[in-house]
Amino acid sequence: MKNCFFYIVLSFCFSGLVCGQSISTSPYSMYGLGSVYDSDFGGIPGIGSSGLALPSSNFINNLNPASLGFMNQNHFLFYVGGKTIFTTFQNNELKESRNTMQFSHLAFAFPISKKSALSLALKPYSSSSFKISNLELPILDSQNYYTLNVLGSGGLNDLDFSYGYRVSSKWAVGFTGTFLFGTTTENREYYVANSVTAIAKESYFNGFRATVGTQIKIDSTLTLAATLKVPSQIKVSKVQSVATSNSTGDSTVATDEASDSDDYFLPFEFGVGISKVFKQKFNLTADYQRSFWTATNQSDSYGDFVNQNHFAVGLSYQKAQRSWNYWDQLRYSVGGNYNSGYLEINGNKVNDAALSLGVSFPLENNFSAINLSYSYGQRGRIGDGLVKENYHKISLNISLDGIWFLKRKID
Amino acid sequence: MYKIILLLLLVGVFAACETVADAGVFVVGSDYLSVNNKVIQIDTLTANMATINFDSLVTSEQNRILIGNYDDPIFGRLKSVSYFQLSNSVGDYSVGNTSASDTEYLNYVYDSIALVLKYDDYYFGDTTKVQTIDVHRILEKVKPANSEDSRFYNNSSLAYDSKSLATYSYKPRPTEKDSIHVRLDDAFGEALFLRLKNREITNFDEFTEYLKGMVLVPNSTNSSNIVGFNLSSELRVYYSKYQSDAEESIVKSFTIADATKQYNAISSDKTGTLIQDLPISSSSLSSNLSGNKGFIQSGSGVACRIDFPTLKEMNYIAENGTVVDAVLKIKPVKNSYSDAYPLPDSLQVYVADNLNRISGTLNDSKDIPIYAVLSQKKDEFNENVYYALPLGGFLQKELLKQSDSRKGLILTIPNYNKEINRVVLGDQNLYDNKMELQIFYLTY
Repeated sequence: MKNCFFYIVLSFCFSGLVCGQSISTSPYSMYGLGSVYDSDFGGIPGIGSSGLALPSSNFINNLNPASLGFMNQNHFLFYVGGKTIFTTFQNNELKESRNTMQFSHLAFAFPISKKSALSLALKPYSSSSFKISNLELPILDSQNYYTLNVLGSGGLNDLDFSYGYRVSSKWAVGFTGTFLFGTTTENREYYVANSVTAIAKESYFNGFRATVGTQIKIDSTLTLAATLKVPSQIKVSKVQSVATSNSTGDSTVATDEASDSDDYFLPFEFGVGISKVFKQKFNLTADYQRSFWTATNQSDSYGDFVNQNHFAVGLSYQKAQRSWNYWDQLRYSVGGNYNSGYLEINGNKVNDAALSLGVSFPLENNFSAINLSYSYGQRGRIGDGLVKENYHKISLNISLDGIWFLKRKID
Repeated sequence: MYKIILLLLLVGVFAACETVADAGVFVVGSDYLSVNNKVIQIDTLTANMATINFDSLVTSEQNRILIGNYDDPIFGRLKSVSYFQLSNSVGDYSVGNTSASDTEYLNYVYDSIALVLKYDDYYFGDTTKVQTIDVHRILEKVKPANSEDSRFYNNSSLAYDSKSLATYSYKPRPTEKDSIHVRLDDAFGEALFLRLKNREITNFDEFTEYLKGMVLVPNSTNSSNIVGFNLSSELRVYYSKYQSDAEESIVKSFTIADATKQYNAISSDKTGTLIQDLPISSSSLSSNLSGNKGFIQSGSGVACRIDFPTLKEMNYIAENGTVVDAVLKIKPVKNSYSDAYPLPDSLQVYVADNLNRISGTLNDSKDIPIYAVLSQKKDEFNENVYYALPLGGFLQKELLKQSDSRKGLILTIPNYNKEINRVVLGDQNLYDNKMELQIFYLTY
């Protein structure tokens, strides 16, 4: 246990560093809290990010805290993951590619009794990284135009504390408390007539969100699950500096002036999921989630929000959990998801669809594994003032089992 | 083994990826960008124009003798009278050789006396017309009426002898000739010469006691131009030394060595003009009462004032907002200028309180004065002739100011104290040549 705490402390120090460096650019990320990451653990990215009903018996299931109720005794799980994303942006006229690389999560899970377990996870929640160059916009009440440059950076982090409790051998419940915190900065330059005005804005976010979940094992192959996320408020405070420069010289209009900012609201969400094992080799998972964004009644300064539907389905195959042949132990997975999008721009929803493939390489004779998955997806579309993002995502997650650790230490 | 390979792969994948520089060409929902920060153009803010009259304009120490009078079709008759004190630049008030004996002194004989006025190239009006000036002796000491103040103003006056020492008519040739030679009354010249010769005058005090100064007064019979002369103009006493058969001509010169003792009294008769009823200097005449025009005439102290009475209402546009740029285009009134009355290249701008008390020039953030600059001298339809005055900084500061006191702008012509130029400007309501104020406002 002593060693575990040592690793926790060390890892969080390390992750703070990595978080600060993570970058992901998207033109959609100037809205709301930015573009939300999917930073799923273990093999979940390979099965289309589905898996509300998967138990945390041999891995940490970040989708449903109730899964921790089924965690095996005498294991300490440590997860770390990263992602590389190749994105192509395309609109009617242009096409451009960008590559980004980011840290995706760091997590621990450990049982605290025969019937319950805790997990702690740190991951990036969203990124607000975007750039706009030489955008011409109309000046109100005139025929003239001004030019705008914007550089956005920063994002929110997510710190999760989850607890799962097995009520009976077939039923578990769980709770996750999520702290969202972070800073975004946005530097705007307005070229109006013969003047340049620079507005540098820093927004600080913090909020708490609660998730409750449950999993019910109907029989040894079928599990049902549900989660509820309660609506929550992300407090926003903003300071900005404004400086102008024109033919009459330079002046500072405001320096780090606190300005009114509308708080951000996360909606009520519910999800249901199913997991079914066939022939002891195949595992089918399917989830549906709905997010009630419309009811959040956000200020239009964050964009227009609409209710979002999210479907995910996945299938994994593993020939045998234990075998003398290493190749038989590999778990192959395939999945897909569709998300109708919560953002409406110019009356068009920004939807997102992706297909995924994955493979898990077990390490030694415990729950340690390396999970490699690839997904291809599209977000938005060409035309209607939207941009189409084609992305190829490679996720690499390392799951380490505490037993494995101990062995290494003894070496 | 697999572990190691995969870990190497992980490192390899992450290391291989470099973020490509984002060119920033993809934007979704540009309307959204306009929501938080609005850029608004405002063309309708009221700018009031008025004409004011500075009753006292410092005209001493301007290094110019300004003399003449002319009738302006718009501004009425303008007249400049120039007063100055004379002295010998090296303090030598002797005639001939100071060591000469009395008998030698008898050999010095007065010839003539003249005022040599040297053109300084400045003129205004029609120099093809004859101008007549009278030269008089000043009868009181050349010093300001108010002992607290060492300066003379355009309305200062000193008593002078009604008897003229000379009446001189000439057609000014300011750019072709160097000077004019005004022969003065010989009785005056001889009397001065004798006092110098007899050593009754040996120093500056004795000289200025006898000849306190001179004043050049334009004769009202002719009224066509005003001409500038510089301070190296001289009073010359010509005399000769007779010895044996030889005759030697000698000149004794007196100049305006002290520029503070020279000033021009510039007065105008605006009877019959649109601005004949200009109020006292702390008040102003609205352009509504002067044909929707504002007037500037240097020398006489007529200036144009511009105010923005409703500026603070811009604070209601948004909780946080600022003027990012503004330009005031002030247009000279059609037919008010011509080759004979050319437009000045720029206008000087001062900031003043509501009693026309000037706090200084309008400056940029580096304290360099801002001028209203003429776009072009003339064009066919006079559409694009205007003075452009950038006002971004001024309006921004006025808007941010907490107090209710409002500052106005006063426009004059550069060299306001030593020239005669004039301009007529249209206000916001004049049918042609409207003044235009364009403001760019940004909310944040």
